[in-house]
Amino acid sequence: MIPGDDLVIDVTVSDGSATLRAAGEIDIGNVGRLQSELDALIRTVPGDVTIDMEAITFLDSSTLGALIGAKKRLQGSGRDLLLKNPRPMVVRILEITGLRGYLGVQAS
Amino acid sequence: MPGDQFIELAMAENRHVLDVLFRHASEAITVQDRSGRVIYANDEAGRLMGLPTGADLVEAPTKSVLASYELIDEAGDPFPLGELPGRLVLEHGEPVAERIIGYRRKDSNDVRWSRLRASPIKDDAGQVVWAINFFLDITARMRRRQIESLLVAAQEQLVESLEVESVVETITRLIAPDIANWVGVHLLDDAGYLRAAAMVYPQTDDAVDLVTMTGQERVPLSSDRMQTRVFSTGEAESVLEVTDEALSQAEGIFGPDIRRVIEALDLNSVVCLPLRTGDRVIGTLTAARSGPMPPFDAEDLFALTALADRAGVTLANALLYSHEHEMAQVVSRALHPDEIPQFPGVEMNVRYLPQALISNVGGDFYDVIPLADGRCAIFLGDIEGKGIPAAEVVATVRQVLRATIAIDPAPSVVFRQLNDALLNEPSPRFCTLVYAVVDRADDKVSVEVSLAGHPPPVVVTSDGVAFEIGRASPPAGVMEHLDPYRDRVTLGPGDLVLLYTDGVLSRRQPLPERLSATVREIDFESLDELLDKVIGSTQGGDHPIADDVVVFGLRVAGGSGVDASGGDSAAHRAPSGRDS
Repeated sequence: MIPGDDLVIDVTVSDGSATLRAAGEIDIGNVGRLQSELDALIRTVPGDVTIDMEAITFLDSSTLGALIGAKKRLQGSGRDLLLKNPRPMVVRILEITGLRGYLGVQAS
Repeated sequence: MPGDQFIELAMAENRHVLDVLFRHASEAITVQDRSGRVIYANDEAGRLMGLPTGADLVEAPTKSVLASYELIDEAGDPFPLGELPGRLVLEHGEPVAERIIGYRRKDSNDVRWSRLRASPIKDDAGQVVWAINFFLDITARMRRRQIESLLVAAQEQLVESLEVESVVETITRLIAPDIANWVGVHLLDDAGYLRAAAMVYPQTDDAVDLVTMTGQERVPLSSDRMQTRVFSTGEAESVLEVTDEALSQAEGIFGPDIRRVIEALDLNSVVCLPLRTGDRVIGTLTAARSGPMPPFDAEDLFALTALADRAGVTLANALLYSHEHEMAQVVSRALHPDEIPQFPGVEMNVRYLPQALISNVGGDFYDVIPLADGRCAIFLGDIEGKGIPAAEVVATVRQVLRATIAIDPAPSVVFRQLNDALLNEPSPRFCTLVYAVVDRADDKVSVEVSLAGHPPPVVVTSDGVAFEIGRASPPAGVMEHLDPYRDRVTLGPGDLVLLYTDGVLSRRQPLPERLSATVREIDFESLDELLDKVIGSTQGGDHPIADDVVVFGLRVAGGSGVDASGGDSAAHRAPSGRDS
């Protein structure tokens, strides 16, 4: 299987807020799918968007770009992007890139 | 009657009989006696061998006729003389199945093709006395077949050619020397001239003269030449016979020398065809024959036209590709310094692998800037996104950084300016950056590192210890304010620092710790060798590179990684805090 081709995205909406579960590796090859899911949620859901990162094994700088973009758009309309349950590997990536605080990662 | 005379008479009588039988046959027919000598040939057979009549063929010594020809089989290999049907008939006395034989004139490469069969004539005792050879001229059919396979080959080979040079090479190789012994490909260049991309011609001094006179220089479109006319009108032109009139016309354009050269070269047939894609003409294909080659016939023109059609489309694609490739290289050069400035006592070098083959413009950038106070600033970063849009932002970022650093190299100032510039971009992108200021005092070199969203540099001491330097802050272009940390490391002789972009890190281990581990495993004598091996470690493996890779190294002169082992490494860290 082509690496990055096995990304699975699952969305649930309740009480006006959305939770997006992504599983697999996210990089420049498939970040477009995450991006369009986030875009759709931001347009249609009135509340916050939470990404459950428990099953994300890797993300690259283009993925961080998508997360930053989504957070900015949500904050621009009084909402927020929340990240929860990241694996240690993903936490480390967020630490290296100095984004752990900004992206508001909630420990698992 | 003496025996000889009798034989002569009998022979004459026989020839007469044979002539009555075969004179008007549409096939070429020869008759050989038991010794293999040709005793009769009809006029068709004479013409097949390039002689006016059959009698000329009979009278010409066999050797002299055969000496100017080469017999070939369908594959173009030499045809063994022992397998000629006439020989076999004389030997075995049985009719022989027909064979296809090509007669290639050695001087012109012109090939006539025959289907050849032979039958025995026996005397009353059943002894073979003659072999009668029947030649059916199938040259036209064979030529069509050859042209078809040539065009198939052209199709296959042109598809594989991506670059202009290789397309031009393929076309000339397909045409010369079989279809024409002169080939010229002219393409329109950026300055609006037709420029010779290839000239193939027979190797004689006169040929060199003519090429120098007509082909090598670039031709302004305004000049009246066969190529420029064909280029402007899109219509093919040909001179199938070089006449006095044509020579006079050429003299009017090129001056009196052209007549001397063309006559000396014995040029006898020229055709010039447009190379086009759709309605757009991009150049011309010129083919000519000289010396003993016959003038182009309808089949030659068909083959050349078909080749020019295929080549035009392929060349247009190749030109587009080369244009994009050139653009990408220009942009890429604009994003990276041509040369890394020297800094006394510190060796610096870089390896850069762009991500994409076609648009080798990535979002990575780096630069080295000597400061007025004798220190030296290095920055290396990665802009979110790829391609030309990212490259535009890279250009801006690099300008902002260079301008700011020249005025005030303090990290807080540099990062603030960068952050503001990115937030003011029409479509905001974020950018990671590692910024290092190198200072030198006596034999100690200090490096102060500030990071924005970028993985920390790896320090490798002369005794092989590797550790990271620098504390993270968010990338530039994300938050209103950006206030980086400063961390300082002091290096001794042989110690080195690696700055890199995240493409260096493999998929499974995307952490700086991994690079430290890799560096610990690598044996190296020089900085160059280490950089090569680090870049090499990003190739292949579990994942193809999807990102640019930059590795920048600086190493303090003196010491040696091997000899200094056991020595007291001078490198040590000292956080300098935030510098606002």
